Amino acid sequence: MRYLRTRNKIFHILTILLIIVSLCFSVFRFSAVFGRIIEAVKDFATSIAYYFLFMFEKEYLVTASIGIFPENLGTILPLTLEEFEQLMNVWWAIFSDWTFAEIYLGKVGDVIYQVSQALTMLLLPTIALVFLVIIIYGANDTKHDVDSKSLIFWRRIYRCTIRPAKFYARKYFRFLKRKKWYVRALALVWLYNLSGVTIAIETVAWYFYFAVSFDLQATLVWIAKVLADFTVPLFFFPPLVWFIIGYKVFDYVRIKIGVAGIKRGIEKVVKFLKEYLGAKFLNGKQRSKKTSLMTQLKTISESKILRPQAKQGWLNRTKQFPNFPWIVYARYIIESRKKHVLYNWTRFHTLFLFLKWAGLNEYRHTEEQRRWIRRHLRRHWNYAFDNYCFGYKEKQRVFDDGLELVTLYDALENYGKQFFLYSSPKPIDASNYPIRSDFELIDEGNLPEFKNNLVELDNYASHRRTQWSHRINFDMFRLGEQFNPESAENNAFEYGIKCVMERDKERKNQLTRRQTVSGENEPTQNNDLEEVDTKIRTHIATCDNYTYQEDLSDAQRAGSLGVDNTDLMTKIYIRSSKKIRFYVPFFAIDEAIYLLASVIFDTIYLYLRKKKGSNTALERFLWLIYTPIYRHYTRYKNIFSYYPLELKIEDGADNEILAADKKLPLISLVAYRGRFRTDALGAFYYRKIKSATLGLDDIPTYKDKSMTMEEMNAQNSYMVKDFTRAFGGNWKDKNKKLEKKAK
Amino acid sequence: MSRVFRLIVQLFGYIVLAIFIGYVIWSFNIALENYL
Repeated sequence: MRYLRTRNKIFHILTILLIIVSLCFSVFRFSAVFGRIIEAVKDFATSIAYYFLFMFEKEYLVTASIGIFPENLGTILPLTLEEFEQLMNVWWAIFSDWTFAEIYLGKVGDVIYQVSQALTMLLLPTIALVFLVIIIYGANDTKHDVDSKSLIFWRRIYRCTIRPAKFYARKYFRFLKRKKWYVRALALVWLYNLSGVTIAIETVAWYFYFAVSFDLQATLVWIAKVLADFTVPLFFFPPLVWFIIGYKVFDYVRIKIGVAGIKRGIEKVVKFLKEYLGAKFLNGKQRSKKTSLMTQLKTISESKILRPQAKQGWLNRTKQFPNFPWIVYARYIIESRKKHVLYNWTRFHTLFLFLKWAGLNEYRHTEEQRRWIRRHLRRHWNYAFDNYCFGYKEKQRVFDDGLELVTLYDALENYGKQFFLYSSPKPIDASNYPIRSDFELIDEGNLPEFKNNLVELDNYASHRRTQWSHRINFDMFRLGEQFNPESAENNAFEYGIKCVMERDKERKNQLTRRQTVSGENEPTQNNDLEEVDTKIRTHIATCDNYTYQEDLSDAQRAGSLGVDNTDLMTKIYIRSSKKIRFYVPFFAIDEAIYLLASVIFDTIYLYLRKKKGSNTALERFLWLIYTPIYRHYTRYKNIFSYYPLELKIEDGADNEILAADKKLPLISLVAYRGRFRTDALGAFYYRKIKSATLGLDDIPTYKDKSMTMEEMNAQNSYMVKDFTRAFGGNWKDKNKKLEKKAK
Repeated sequence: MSRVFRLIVQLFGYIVLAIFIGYVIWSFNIALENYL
């Protein structure tokens, strides 16, 4: 603790010293800024005066000094509209004059010449360096993970200099984070020093004057003033700092453009999903990215279509009865979900049937009957309101929407269903492979807010919110025979997104079903009536004329799924997946740097690691340079990439081609953010192979170009066995002899 | 190979763009020095 206090004291002294030094800069180095700030304040005052006097039509009483350029401030910029026009004319004359272009190209040529000269001169030292590396690092050693002498030397220097510097800098920044007033004071002093305050005051002054006067000439003067002020930081910082600032700004802008691109891509997918309503059946060869596309469609469908639609739905119901205590009802739904009173849509239906009955017949009930009803509601429905309408006492019970007379109970039921879906803390899906969701439900004790930022760049935040999709139980979709007819899960799926990969292998078609044999009372694809369920399932998922259901499935061939299924679906064929592309502009520069660095790094690293077991300083140095390049490239590539898919879309019922060449992006940030695994069915093989005692290396290799009979027999091939029978007649005996021999 | 070729074409495009933007700025600078 004492140590901590001492360090804090040093930090306090250091910060105060920094502030004093900054103030010294203000007095000695940036003394001219003071004069400018006085002028800026004067501009501001006169502009404000002009602004308010203008309202009372007395603006002639004051002259706004923002339109007057101070004489002591030199400028070569135009200050009047005529001068501006003149400058533009001169610029155009120069710009369109080939002589000037030739001069400019000559200068560019000079730069290229100098660069190539430098590169040529560097070639010889580079070759010498390569030879030096080969000579120094050419000697073999197998001292694994032992540091070389040069590396030990370098580590010692690092430990004494860079590491403590880094450590204290980090501590100091943490200290500054705690002591915000120090940062504010320093920021203010430097904003003043670098004309930031002047520019801000001048800009506000210009705004007040321009808002009422629309004086273009004053705008030119204001630009000239601001640019004159900008020369202070311009000449203060060295070119390297400006280069870094320039790069940061460039990077910031292109990240913004990249994120906007991803958002545009997501919008395209939303439009696609809304265009082709109903069940969608994705088809494509192996590795054609069909499950990736399905995962993307699921993610976007939930967060950009179903939940927002539900939100709009309950919001519209709110507007029909403005005086109803909706917030009370919303909290009742949330509490009842927690107490497992309201857990599906049908529970809402049942509740409101009961409430409607109780409300309409209230006048007929005796006091005892009423007590019974209230007890029933309290015990079984978590309902503790003093009437049958959530405490609503207003007269308005009907809303005339022009077409229908909407009763309050109808509005409540539909609000409830849609709010229940919207505020679901878990994803609204059931799938036969795990899909990751990363939405958040912000509940501050009132109305919760569903938020799913699909372009969240903070990867840790996205992964902290991980939730996996619901495990499907196919009995939920079987109206006929079921594997487990008593299971409570069988009625759990009402609304949401059903995702089935390899649907053809699950359902089969008319030809392949013929071989399906069932045991006693066991369901098969022939007797489980799933197709009937698929046809009418949307009816339970519909609320306010919107179907809150999405049926997504994929297969390798559309034909391997029965017509009874595919008739209902929109068939989507993935015709091709083009090569990776990027939403972020100028990515070719990053890629070129990465490729070049990788070629150099890989060559040297592999050479060094082949020769040396010990850790060398050269290798460490290479890592130091290469790691940031690798990390930057990998992250940008993964975040901003997409695969343009070409789709053919067919109506399932009449095979009419709806779109022959539909383009849809498969966005990495949506589809590949740890959302699913392409080898989701791998568990079968893991279990099969877990107890294996031999690997590929333990299998004998062939001895020569032509096979021996033993080798052929050991293949366990139908073809070889057929040939053996054909050539030798009694192949069983022969086999037995061979086996004995082998033993 | 096509990846490298695509990269070279893109980089060439960027260089041409940079030279053009440089010309715009350079000519403005010359104009600023000469307009009065």
